Amino acid sequence: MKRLVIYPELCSGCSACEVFCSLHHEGKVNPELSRIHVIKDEAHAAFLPVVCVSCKNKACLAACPEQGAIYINHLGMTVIEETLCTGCSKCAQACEIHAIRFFKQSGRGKWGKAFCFKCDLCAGDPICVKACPQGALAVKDIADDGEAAQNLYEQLRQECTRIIEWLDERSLVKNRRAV
Amino acid sequence: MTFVYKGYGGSYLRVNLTTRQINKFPLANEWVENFLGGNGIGTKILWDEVPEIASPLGPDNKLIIATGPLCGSPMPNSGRVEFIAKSPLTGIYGDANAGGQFGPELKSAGYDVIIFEGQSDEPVYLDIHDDDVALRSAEELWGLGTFEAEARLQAIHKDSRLKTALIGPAGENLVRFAGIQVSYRRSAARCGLGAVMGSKKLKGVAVRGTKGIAFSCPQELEELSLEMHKKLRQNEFFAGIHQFGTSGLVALMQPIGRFPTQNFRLGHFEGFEAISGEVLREEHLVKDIACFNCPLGCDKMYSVISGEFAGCRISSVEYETLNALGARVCNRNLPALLKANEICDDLGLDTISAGNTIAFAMELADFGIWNANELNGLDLSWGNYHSILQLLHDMAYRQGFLGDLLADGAARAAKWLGRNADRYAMHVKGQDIPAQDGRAQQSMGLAHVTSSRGADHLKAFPTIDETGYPSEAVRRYGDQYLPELVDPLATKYKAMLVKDGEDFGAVVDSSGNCKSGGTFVMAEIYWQEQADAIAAATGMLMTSRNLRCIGERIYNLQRCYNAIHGITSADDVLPWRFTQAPSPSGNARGSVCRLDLMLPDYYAARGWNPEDGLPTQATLQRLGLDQAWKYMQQIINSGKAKIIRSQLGWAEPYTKKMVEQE
Repeated sequence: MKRLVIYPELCSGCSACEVFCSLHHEGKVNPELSRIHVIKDEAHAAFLPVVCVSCKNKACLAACPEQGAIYINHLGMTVIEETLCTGCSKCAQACEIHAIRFFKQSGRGKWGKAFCFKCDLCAGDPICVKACPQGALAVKDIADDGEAAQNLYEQLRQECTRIIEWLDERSLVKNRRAV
Repeated sequence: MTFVYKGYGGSYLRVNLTTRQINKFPLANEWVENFLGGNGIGTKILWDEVPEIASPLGPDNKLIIATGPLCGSPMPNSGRVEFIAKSPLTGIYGDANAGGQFGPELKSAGYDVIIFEGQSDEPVYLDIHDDDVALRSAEELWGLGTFEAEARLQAIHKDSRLKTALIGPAGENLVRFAGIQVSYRRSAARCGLGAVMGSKKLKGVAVRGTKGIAFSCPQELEELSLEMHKKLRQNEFFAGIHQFGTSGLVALMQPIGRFPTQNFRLGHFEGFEAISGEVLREEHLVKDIACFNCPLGCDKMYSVISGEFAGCRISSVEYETLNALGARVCNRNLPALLKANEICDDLGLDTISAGNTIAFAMELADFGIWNANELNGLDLSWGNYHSILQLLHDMAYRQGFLGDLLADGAARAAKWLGRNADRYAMHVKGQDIPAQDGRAQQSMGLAHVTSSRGADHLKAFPTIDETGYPSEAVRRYGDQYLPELVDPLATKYKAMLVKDGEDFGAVVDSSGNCKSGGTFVMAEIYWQEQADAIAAATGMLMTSRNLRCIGERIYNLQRCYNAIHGITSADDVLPWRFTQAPSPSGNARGSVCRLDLMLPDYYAARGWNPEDGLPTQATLQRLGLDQAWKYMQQIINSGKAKIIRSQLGWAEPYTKKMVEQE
């Protein structure tokens, strides 16, 4: 199946992925609404693009209390049916690489402006890969049981934790989810 | 009146620092239709609201922060933000522009423009979180360098994604070439606008925007932008810029004699390799980083690991800085140079003016013009990097006689000193000359004198004749102007090149994309592409013809603004070194800058009076600036302009022939 592969060491922190992702999915440029997210520790020039890598464990699936709000589509990609999402954010909390985003303005549910959203792989041809000037993102057709993806997830999780801890220690984040 | 266009934040803030009043208004349709955004709107507001008698450091000057319709857009390198005010360095029109992420963040909060007026009596910063806007005390930030102030603000707001525009001690101490530092570590350096903030007791602006930016035709814009991203990546110059940023120019400028050395005495630097982009990358690179949505990533993070300057960590080390704090002052020590850059960014100094001012001081020392007691024991021999670092510090804090004097810039220091010091102040209209040499590249000499903010390469930014690559020139202008157009030593067609660059540059600076990527350095984005992108972003009916008109209108209004401060063709001059002393270096050997040949062509191309170099009534009428013409005539005819000109405070550039005392 097709999977997004991330090479964090190549990322320059330009956010082109976030720009194009939000434009493509939401019709406006807003990194807050991007399905791919770059966690930044600028003082160390550490940039970590995080997006769903189709890990094997899929903790998000198990965490969702709503019937059918999160499911695996024909490409093997976990997707959120945003019209069914109530914005409880349990899936977002379950994903340790912050690949599921939670956006809350008011109320619950997509039209109440609180919902979770994640990458849908743009039907197999992700816009972020096309936009990335650094080659830090790639889409690969990998026929395996998700072991490689799980390893990538683990690598991202460690890096993610490291950066967030650093930011948190310096009180640069309101909480560890808000990066 | 509601604002009708997409692609903008849609509103602007008027912040009165005297009364602490903050008002929010919808952006004016008339502003964006005639002046587009950024640089253009800033110019319009300056013209309308900051009178010729306003003192740059007084309460009547205004600081305008402005973004444009492409800032924060998917178009490549769309992170630029403009700062506009009357310049404390030149006393005339001033602007500075920076990349980073501040501009897009501000737009995402819903604002295109902020106008700061009046003066606060206590240090404050403006805190913007979408609709919540407040002035807060900056008491605990005052005195801090920009690095720490930024980190402190992020900690106060518990948000590492907070973006800031800040001044350091240099701005606070009203150093006339103090810059504004923008997240993350990019500088809006020129014209001393940091001192304008300092005079208003405004430490900075902190902004967080989560609203995003909507566009008129998002799909069309996405396709066009993606195509532009791809074209940039495929451009023949991409690899070099991607790897070295502007520092790669050091090795390119040396052989053509365009690498200003020893206060412009020479155009080549013995041992330039030590401060070249190649050595910089090899020995000091930490990581390639990039501004908002930029495929080029000319920005880099560098560090010094060992030796005296170990621990120095600095990003965006530009060609200009490598020259101003390197060759210009004969400093070959790269770690010391990086340290100097770090000091400038942290304390908030323009590296170009800082380096040029130190070069001026060193040349005066060379000719024995200083009195021994004035130097306070400082050894100002060429290349003494300890003295350079000390002087940067002293200037930023206005410490000691020398620091305080030089903090006003070379041109003002020369006027105060007398003693023929004016001969060694390398400036145009009070603004320090950047790292080009009109003798080695004629178009740059012309660009330096016609720039509306005093000596500057980035207004016209003539790059296609820099190293003589015809491919880009042909793509932009056809082959009718070859070979002269790409010959750096030829004067023919250079007026056309400079005028076109100034108009297009005004539009790019008003749009919010970058002159270093695609629009000038790689000639992929020109009038048509820019117009298409603006049309798709905003829904405005925009053609390349409209856009040319807007560019010309902006540039003419800047000239008018200078004219009411008494600026005329008499000020369109280069110091003697460029026009009287033949270049001793490289390909340029024996050449002088022929302003006498290019300026008449330039005035003619602009529709300006060949005598006084000012826009004619017909030209301004064509651009819809009739009112500006009337006002300009009134101020000039009443004699007011002349009086203001006599009070600008800098020494005239010395233009007479001189025998080099070497």
